Amino acid sequence: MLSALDRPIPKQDWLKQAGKVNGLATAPCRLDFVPGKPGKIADAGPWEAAVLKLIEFQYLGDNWDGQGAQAPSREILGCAIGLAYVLHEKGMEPPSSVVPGPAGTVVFEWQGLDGSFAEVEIVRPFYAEVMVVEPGKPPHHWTLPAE
Amino acid sequence: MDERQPVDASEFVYRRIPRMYYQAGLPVLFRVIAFRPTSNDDTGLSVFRAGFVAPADTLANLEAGKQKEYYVVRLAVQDLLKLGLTVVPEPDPDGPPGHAVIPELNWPAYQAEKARLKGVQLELAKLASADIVHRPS
Repeated sequence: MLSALDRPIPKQDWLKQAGKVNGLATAPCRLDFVPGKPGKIADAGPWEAAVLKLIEFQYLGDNWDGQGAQAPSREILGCAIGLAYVLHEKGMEPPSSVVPGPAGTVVFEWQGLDGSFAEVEIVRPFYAEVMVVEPGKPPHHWTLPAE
Repeated sequence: MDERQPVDASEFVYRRIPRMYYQAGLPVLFRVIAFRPTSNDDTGLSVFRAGFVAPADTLANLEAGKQKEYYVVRLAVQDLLKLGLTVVPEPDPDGPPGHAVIPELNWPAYQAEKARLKGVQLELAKLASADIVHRPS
């Protein structure tokens, strides 16, 4: 289930998918998608539901949880959508859930019926922390992108 | 009972979790991020001692609209101790009674030891999934 996460993700691939050119930020183009208008996210395949959810997160305000949570910025959301496309291209199955973190981060989580678990947390633009737990093995941690 | 009294290993504590962090049908019902501190959690992760407050009353200091968006889960202090965690009273005069914190999950500690503590947070999410004491209305 989680083997595709192990493949290196070069920063260039992530930048490309997040709509960045030569390291200079542009508007995260896919955030401009309007739910209900077909076509623009058709290439997300099985990741479409996750991408739609990420797009919806742009409407979260600060304090969305009533306890002072910080809403994810458009830049973080653009990066999360870009990473979703990179992982889709690498053959990773879509996450079991996609949620905003209380500190303005975005989290992809996978769970397997065998007890396997993975979490990717985009903690700042183009930087994500990964934890993978496979049954009977200690948790494995690394960060994205691969340098 | 005095809220400032040390927490006994036989006690239970409640943790409030936003509805967004629940997903039915998964082996672990709550997201691990529900147990991740933020920069506001400088003394530790907030919980409420079950001996001082009813589950639904832990939501009393949230906005009325938000109160309906929360689960409350129950954790045994004994289970927390097995994970290397403790619970320390930290009464809040402006909030529900029985406020306490898990100091090992304060923001600086989490930043310093993310890899180990993320594994601990996964175990907390599993424990929480097994003991839901209040659901969103």
